[in-house]
Parts: sequence; structure tokens; C-alpha cells
Amino acid sequence: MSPAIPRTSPIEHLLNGVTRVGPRQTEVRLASPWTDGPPDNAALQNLFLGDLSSSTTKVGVKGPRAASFLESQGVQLPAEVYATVAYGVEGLVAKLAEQEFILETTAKDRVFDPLENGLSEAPAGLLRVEHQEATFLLCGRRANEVMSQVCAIDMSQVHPGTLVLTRAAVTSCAILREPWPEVLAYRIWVDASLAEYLWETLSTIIG
Amino acid sequence: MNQRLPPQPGEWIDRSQPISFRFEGGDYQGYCGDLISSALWANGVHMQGRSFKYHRPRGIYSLAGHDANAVFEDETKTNIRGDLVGLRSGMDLRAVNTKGGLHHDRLSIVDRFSKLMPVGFYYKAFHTPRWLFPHYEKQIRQIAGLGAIRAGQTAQLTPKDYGFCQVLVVGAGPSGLSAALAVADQGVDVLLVDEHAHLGGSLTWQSGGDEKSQELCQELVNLAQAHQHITVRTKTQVAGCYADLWVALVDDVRLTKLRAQAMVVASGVIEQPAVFGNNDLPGVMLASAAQRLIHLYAVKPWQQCVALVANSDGYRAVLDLHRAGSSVAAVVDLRDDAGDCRFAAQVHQLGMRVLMGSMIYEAVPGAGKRSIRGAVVCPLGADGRLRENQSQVIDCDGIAMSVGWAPAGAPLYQVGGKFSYDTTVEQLVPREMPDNVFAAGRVRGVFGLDERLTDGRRAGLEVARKLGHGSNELPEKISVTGPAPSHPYPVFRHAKKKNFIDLDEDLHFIDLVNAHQEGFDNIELIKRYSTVGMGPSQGKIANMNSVRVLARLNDKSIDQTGTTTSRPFYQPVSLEHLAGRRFHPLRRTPMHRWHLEAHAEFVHVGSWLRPEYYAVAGQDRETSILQEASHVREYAGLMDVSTLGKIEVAGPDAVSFLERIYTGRFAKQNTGKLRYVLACDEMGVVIDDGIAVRLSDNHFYVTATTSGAADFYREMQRWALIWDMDVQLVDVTGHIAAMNLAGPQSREVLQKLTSVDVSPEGFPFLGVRRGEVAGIPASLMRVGFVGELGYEIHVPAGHAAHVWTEIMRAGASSKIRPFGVEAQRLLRLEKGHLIVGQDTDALTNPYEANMAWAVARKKQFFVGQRTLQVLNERPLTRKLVGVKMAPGYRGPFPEECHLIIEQGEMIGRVTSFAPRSTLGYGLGLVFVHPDWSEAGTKVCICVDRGAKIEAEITSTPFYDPDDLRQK
Repeated sequence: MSPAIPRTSPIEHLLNGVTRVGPRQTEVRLASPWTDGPPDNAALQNLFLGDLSSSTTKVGVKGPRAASFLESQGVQLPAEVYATVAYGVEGLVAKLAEQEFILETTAKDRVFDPLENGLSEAPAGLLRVEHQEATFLLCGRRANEVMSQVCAIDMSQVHPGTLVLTRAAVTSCAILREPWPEVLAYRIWVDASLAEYLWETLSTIIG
Repeated sequence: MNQRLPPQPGEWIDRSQPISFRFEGGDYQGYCGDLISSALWANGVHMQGRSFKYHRPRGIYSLAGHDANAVFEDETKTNIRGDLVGLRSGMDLRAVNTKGGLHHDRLSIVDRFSKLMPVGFYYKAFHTPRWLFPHYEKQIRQIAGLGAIRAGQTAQLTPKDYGFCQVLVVGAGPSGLSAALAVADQGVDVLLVDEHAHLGGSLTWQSGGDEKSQELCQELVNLAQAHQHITVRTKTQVAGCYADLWVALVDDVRLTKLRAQAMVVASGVIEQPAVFGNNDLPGVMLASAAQRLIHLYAVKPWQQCVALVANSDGYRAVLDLHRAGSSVAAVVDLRDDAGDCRFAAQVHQLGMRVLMGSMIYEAVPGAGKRSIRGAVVCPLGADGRLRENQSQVIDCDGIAMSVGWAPAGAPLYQVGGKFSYDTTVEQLVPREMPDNVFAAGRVRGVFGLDERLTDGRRAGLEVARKLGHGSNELPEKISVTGPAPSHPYPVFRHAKKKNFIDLDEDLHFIDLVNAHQEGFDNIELIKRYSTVGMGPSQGKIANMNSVRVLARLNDKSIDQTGTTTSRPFYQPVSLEHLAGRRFHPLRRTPMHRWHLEAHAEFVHVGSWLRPEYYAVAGQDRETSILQEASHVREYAGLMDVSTLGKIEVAGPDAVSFLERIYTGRFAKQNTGKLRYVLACDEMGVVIDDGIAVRLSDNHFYVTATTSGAADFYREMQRWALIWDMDVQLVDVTGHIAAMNLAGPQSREVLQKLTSVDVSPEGFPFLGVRRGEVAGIPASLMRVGFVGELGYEIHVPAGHAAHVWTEIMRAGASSKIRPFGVEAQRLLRLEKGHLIVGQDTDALTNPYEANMAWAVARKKQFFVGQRTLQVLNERPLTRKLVGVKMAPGYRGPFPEECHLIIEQGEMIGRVTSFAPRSTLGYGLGLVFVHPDWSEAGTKVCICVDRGAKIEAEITSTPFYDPDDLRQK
């Protein structure tokens, strides 16, 4: 599924229109307190919360043939469960279980098209899984202070590039500690229906 | 009277920041760094509160966070602890638990009748007549207690958080500092926590003129604060310790749930009072409290005092008092010999009057018992009893007590540590501790400064070794030696005056004696009967003496007597700290914003927010709902049904799995068709329903009820594991949004947005199609829940708002309107469709609910089948049927759960009811006894305020019984 119509972020109405290129190339949309324009780098180095929901897209593949199918499509797979590897344009592949993977890339990236074609034939042993989670980016040297208020996992000890399935502010989330050397950053996937709640909660904590 | 001293070395107050505050209507000055109680004392305010039960005047007692009678409130908060809370500018405080203010407390008269109120008096006096007890209870609660909750205050959110550390060191005195440095030097990360504002522990206030100890203190503090492996948290209590070293840390603003790998407890000791007559009045305090006043807050405790001592610490306190300018009229030593004590020697050199082998019999109260004006001192006989006939009165305005200590061992107790009584130090000391937990310093009975440093270092190295760091060589373990820092029994009976064991609960010596005489001779029983140790300080300055008293009454040892259980929390923790930010997740659909802009009124359904109806200006709720429903019947309506549970079931065993989960059959279901599904539990109780779509041979898409979806998905996962089936389950509830386009115009609206053939022939009832709607890939399903031509449109959540908006735009010419949950409920009610959870309860089986048609009884197996087979052989005890009011009825209407009564017997109840319907009369569903279920039967429904109305049982559906419109 790759409609020409862009995906709407579940927190679209909470974003103030300020966009910028984030720590990497993907467009990150920001919310208050930067109502007057993009923050400077110093602010970003300190702490910010950004929304990647409308600029990224995901697909899940599950089933006994998931790994072989993805490999046949030239997708490099992580060896361990909860590990990730880079994919497409600033995208990633995460192994959720022995027979389940999730792939995320930028919405502009067409790397999903051949995958979708293969999945649309619904071969046996392969299940395409819809993934419409919101994607947030919590970034900056104070990110762990925020994480410690919502999550019982010691994220500072999580190896970069490792996905953690946990609860943040009592909602189920997948949190990836980005393997970026230049800044501490967490990618947070949360059910779209809970995105507004989690965004507001994190925003309140950030103040 | 200003009792502020000149600047003291190491004082905690900042004289450059004076603070103004108010107390009981008076204006006072203090400094930043003051406690409320220290600032009041500095201003000459010695009476700072009233006691819990007798409303006796009370002042500073411990100044260590254990003073339960110097408790205040302001306009926003109550139970503000004077010896814990720092002074803030603008505070306007008053004492709690008074009627008419602290100085004119009308309830102080209770003290005069105290003989009528022995411990447990209310158990004995107010048991009959029983109906009066609530009245007595109310009165007692008004007379005794603490502060009143301010119900109107806005809740404060606190940043409760999680923390992690390798080693937690509790207490930053010499032992704790030494331990922290020893661990950190091995490269282990340490969190050093102390409840006070500054590090140093007893070295900060227990000076005795020893400058070396102060220098050492500063040196250790500097090293700890500069150490890269040590993180320091001051003003932080270890409020509770739980299994696996889960520790609750509480500071002014937050509760931290800390997970530590190991813990060193160097929490020190708590000074214990002596028990003598009037030992509770303002002016009587622990020597450590006086020393804290002097050294930390630069406040002179008294003009002239008597010091009651039984250890070297007492003599050290006397020296501190002397240097602060308090005249020490006499040192009263319970012992016959002070031993080889350098502080005692210095006291003698100063020429102070020392009365060995003596005890204070009572404090002589000043006017109104708001102060003391003397101490009655008696020698002790060889039998340890007071020689009252040899008493003398010594003038003084204060009494300092230094007769012993009890370990601040709560963290150790709470993690499962065991203590035993060591007569060498006359103190409980830890005997057994769990893995990864260590103790050091005075909590372990080690009192000498050098010994404490060594003990702390040893504990630090030991914990480092435990975590795999450092060498195996450890310093030798310190053995405690005499003389004992605690007196074995500093408790003396007084014939008339109250001699308090527990100031929190106003319990005096005779209360414990009486409780013991009544048979409460076990420490846990006497605690519960007398409430000793159950006040705000949780017995920190009461429990040890109560154990000593009980041991003596039972003629047993301390170990035989035992101690009460130490439970969290160590200090009272405010509810706002426990509540934290109060996370309440709310789920919103992708169209939530659209609903808001369309003036939707929302209702909570499970964890979801759903539009109940769309408000129309100048129109009431009921009319709006009826109009929405009528619009669906006449034109077209669009409803957000994204909240439905949506589960994909795929794999070779998908069909077999669904056959087991649901009551219906799936083997012969055609691809591209949907069917209604019903699920029961093992007891045959209806637990969920929905539709099942067959997408391919081994791939189904099923829906579940909004509020039951999460539980049902878990149930499916559980069964899949138990049955070991080759099936993949995916909950896509939040990933797929859904909308129900219904009404006679719905086909026309939909056709504008899709290339799918939606004609009756091309897309029949119960059919399923895949195609694009408004450019978005969608699943289309022909459903009829509301009884009209209808389509459910399922699309990816991220594109749902677009699809919704396009449908509303395309439907404009067809007069499309959104409709909410209430209109849907009315529409389905007119069709006689039940809602699981609304029209069924925790006992409803399919036969009662007229759902026998959905049960394939000849299947090999499904969950609940055996029970349903049994139930099917039995006569029904109730039946779900329709009920309606006569057209034009104008009386009160039934509501859900109203009972149906016939001949004085309950024969049924209402499950759903709509007073207004598109059919022009009120209608609903009811459970009734089968004898009353025939159509046309008149039944009597009891509505609110006891009114009874008549209604008629009817068959369902009420609307379109031949189902012509939905097909």
C-alpha cells in the first residue's frame, strides 16, 4: 500500500507547523515551545520532542516465511530479536520475534514498493501486518530525564540500535535507542490511537 | 525573644537570605535553610503544637523528622512537619488539631479528663447502643487527630520517576561517606542518599568542640561530592525498601522508584527519650535536638537547662550547650559511673554540678504547661528505684535527654534483615541480612568515629567485591565494645504526672501497663490495642521504650519480646508523591479532531473517547440523538467505528482455531464473505461478538467489541498457545480505522468515491470487497447492524481522516450527517440487536439472549460447548425480549437495570431502553422470566422513586422485521 495521498499524523493538530531537518535527513516536526521558528542547534542538543509520523511509513512481515521473503527482496535482517539494522533512506528493520519483522523508512522512500507487491499476493506462510504507529523522536542530552519519568526500563543502559518493547506512561510502546553518535535520541513507536495522549504527556514533562 | 546565636561553624542557615513568615497570626523572621521549627524556636516560640489526644502543649522534641506534634497547615496544605520542612518566604502557618488556635485551644480541657480516657476506652464505652457508635466516632475524630484535608485544592502533579544504580548508600554520615568512597574507588557507581540538606550526618551537629571531626567531615564530603562515581541526593528519604532492592526515594518534589544492585545502610541511630513525669512539655527535648538547634540553625535552646544523661554523647551535648551559652544547672547521670569518658572529664573540669546515679522525676510545668520552670531530681537507690523523699528541684527552662539510641534500621528490616539485642551496646543490631545488603556504623552498634570510618570502608569494599570489583582482602570487621551508649531501661513510673512513652499517640507509661494487665502481652497485640508506634513518626522515638517496658512486664529479654514489623513508609509520604503525574491513557480515533470541530459530545467507552452525539445549537441531547437516527433511516449517516477491535487470524490452522473460539462455523465460509460471530467462555457465557471476514483460505479478519477487544485478543492468544495451533494473531485495532456508512443513500455516496461495484448485485449483503475509497486502499463490508443499507469501510489509520472527510463531502448532496454512539444504540435497538456487555451480563448464555441460531451445536468443539449442551437441556430461567410503551405515553420511562415486578416478585430487568425512537414510541430490551415473555404480555416496571409503569412485551425486531432495508 503506497497511496499518493500523504499519511496524516495522529497529532497533526498539535504540531505548530515548525519543521526542520532533524539530527539526520528525515523531516522532523516539532511542537511548542518553538512557536516562533525552528530551535537552534543548542536547544536541540539539550532536549526536544519531534514527530516523524507523517514523514515515515512502516510495514510488518510475519510468518514462517517472513525472513526468507525479506532476504529474497534484498533486505538485510538483524540476527537477534529486538536488534535493528539500517534500511533504505534513514530507515530500519527490526526483528520483533523469530518470525516477525517491522520495517520503517521515510515516506518518500519507494523501497517498500517491491515488498508490497510481493506481499499483496499473500503467499502461504507470510502475513503482511499493517503498522500505523506514530513515530516520535525524543532527542537531546536530557532525554533520559524524560524517559525516567515514563518508563521503568533503564534506557541509559540499552545498547544503541536495540529495540525495547515496554510501557511508557502506561502505554505499550516500542522504543529504539538510536545508534547516533552525535546525539542521544530515542525513537518511540506508539499505537496511533494513543499518540495524542503520549505526545501531550511527554510535552508536559519536557515543559 | 530572639534566641539566634552568632554564626556557628558549618551552620546550615544562610544569613544573607532572611525570610518573613507568619505563625498563628504573628509575624516572624527566619533564614533560608531554617526548618519551620528551628525558626520558631529562634523567635522564642517554644509551644509549636498540641498533642493528638489530650491537646497538651508540645514543642521541639527530636528536630530530626520525628516530631509528630509540631505539625502545621496553611491555606493549601496540611500536616506540614515542622522539623522536616524548610522555611519558605511568605508561609502563613497555624498548628493543626486545635479549636480556637494554639494558645486558646478549647479542646485542651480534654487533658483534665484524661483519667476517664485510658487506652482503649472507646472500645469499652461506646459499644452499646451500636447505632450510636457512628456519632461517637465522629465526635472522637473531631477532637483527636491531625490536620484536615483541604478538599477544594487543585491536585498537584509530581514528577515521579524511575532510577537505577549499582550501589545505593543510605546515610551520608562518616560511615556512609566512607562506604561510598570505598565502593566508588573501585569504579562502581554509587548513589549516596541522605535525608538532610547537607552531608556529614552526626558530624555536622555532634561536635563537643572537636574541631578535628569537623575538618574530617568536610574532607569526606568534598571527596564524595567530587568523585566521578558518586551521585549525591540530599533531602531524600529512603521511604521504603522492597524485594529485589526496589527502593522508594522521596524528596520534596518526587518519589523515585529506584532499582539498586546492592545497598549499604549507614542510616545511623535515632536518639531515644527518657520517661519521667511531664517529659512531653515544651522545653524537654532530646540532646541531639538541642545540638541540631545550636550547630545547624544557630539557635540557643535554653537559658538554663538540666541535662539527663546516660552515655558519653550526653556529656558531649553538655559541652555544646555550654559553648552556646546555655547554662547547665546540673548534669543528671543515670549511671553510678561515667567510665573513661573524655567529655565527662571536661564537664567536671568546667566545674559543672554532676549528680551521678540520679534521675529526673518530673519536669515542673510553667504557666499553662506551655514551658517548664524546673526539674525534680531524685537519686536512684540500689534497687534502681527513685528515692522520691530525697528529691530536689533545680530551676531550669529546659531539659536535654541523652540516655540512648535505637538503630534507624527500617531499610534493613524492610529488605528482610534480622536484628538481635546486643547487651554490650544495649541496642538492637543487625544479625542477618539478605544478599547484597550491608550495614555500617552506628546502625550496627559501632559508635566510635574511627571505628565508624573503618566499618564504612569495610562495608564499601565488601559490596564492591560482591559486585565483582576490588580485591578479596577486607579490613577486619569491627567488634563493638562498651561502655554502652544506651541505658537498658530509662523508664520511671510517676504516681501522678503523665510520663509519655509515645508522644504521637499520647500514650503514657500506665497505658502500656494497663494494656498488659488486660492481656495484651505480645508486642504486636499491645501495639494494636494501645496504638503505640502507630502515629506519624511510626514509633521511632517510642517503640524501643515500649519494647523495654513490655519486656520488663513480661520478665523477658528484649529478644524474647521482639519488635513490631517495620513497614514502608519510613516517613509519611504525601498522596501527591504517590500519585505522580497520574497517567490516564485515552485512545482517540483518527477522526477525533473532525468530531471535535463538529461539536461532538464525547463518551468514554473502555479506554476510548467516542462521539456520543453531535450537539446542535439550541437543541437538547435527546432531540439531537433522535434526529441523527432519523437521518440514517431517511438519508445517510456516517459513524466512526474505529474503536471496534480488529484482529487478523492467519495460518494453516486459522479455520480450526476460529471454529474453536466462536460458536459458529467457518469451514464453509466463502472467501470475500463475512458472518456474525459469537464467543462464549467455558461457562457458556457470552463474552464477545463481531464479524469474521474470510480474506483467503487461511486468512480471516475479525472484529470485537470496543470495550472487550483487548481482553478478547488476550484470550485468543491464550487459547492459541494452549491448543498449540499454527496460527498467527495480530491485533490491528489501532492501525486500522473504520467507519460505518449507513442509510438508503449510502450506496450512492460510496459509489462516488470508489471503482468497486457497489450495486446490489455486485456487492450483496454480507459481502466483502477490496478496493480504493477516495484513493486509499480499503476493505468494504456490507453490514446491517443499524438496520439500513450499510457499509463498513476499513482503512489504514493514517489515511482515515482523509477518507472520512471525502465521504462527508461526497455525501453532502445526499444530506449525509455524522451519527454518534447513542444514535447507533437506538437504531440497533429498533432492530432488536443486542450489545454484549449492555444487554448481556456475566451470566448470560446464548439461549437466554435469543442467540441460539448463532450456536453450531453439532460442531466437534468450541469454547463453552459442553456447558451449552447442558444448559440446552434445561428450561430457560430468563429470556431477552422486546418491550415497548404505548404510543403517546407521557409518564416516567424505564432506564437500564430497572426491575420488572409482578406479584411482589422480581421477574426481570431492563437492559436497554430508548424513551424516544424513530418509530414514535419508547422501546427497549428486557430480561424476563419465560412465563412473561409472550408478545403482548403486560408487565410492571419499577422506575425511579418507586413509581410503577406498565409496558408491553413484544417480539423483535421492532423495525423492518423482514430485514428488507438492510439487504
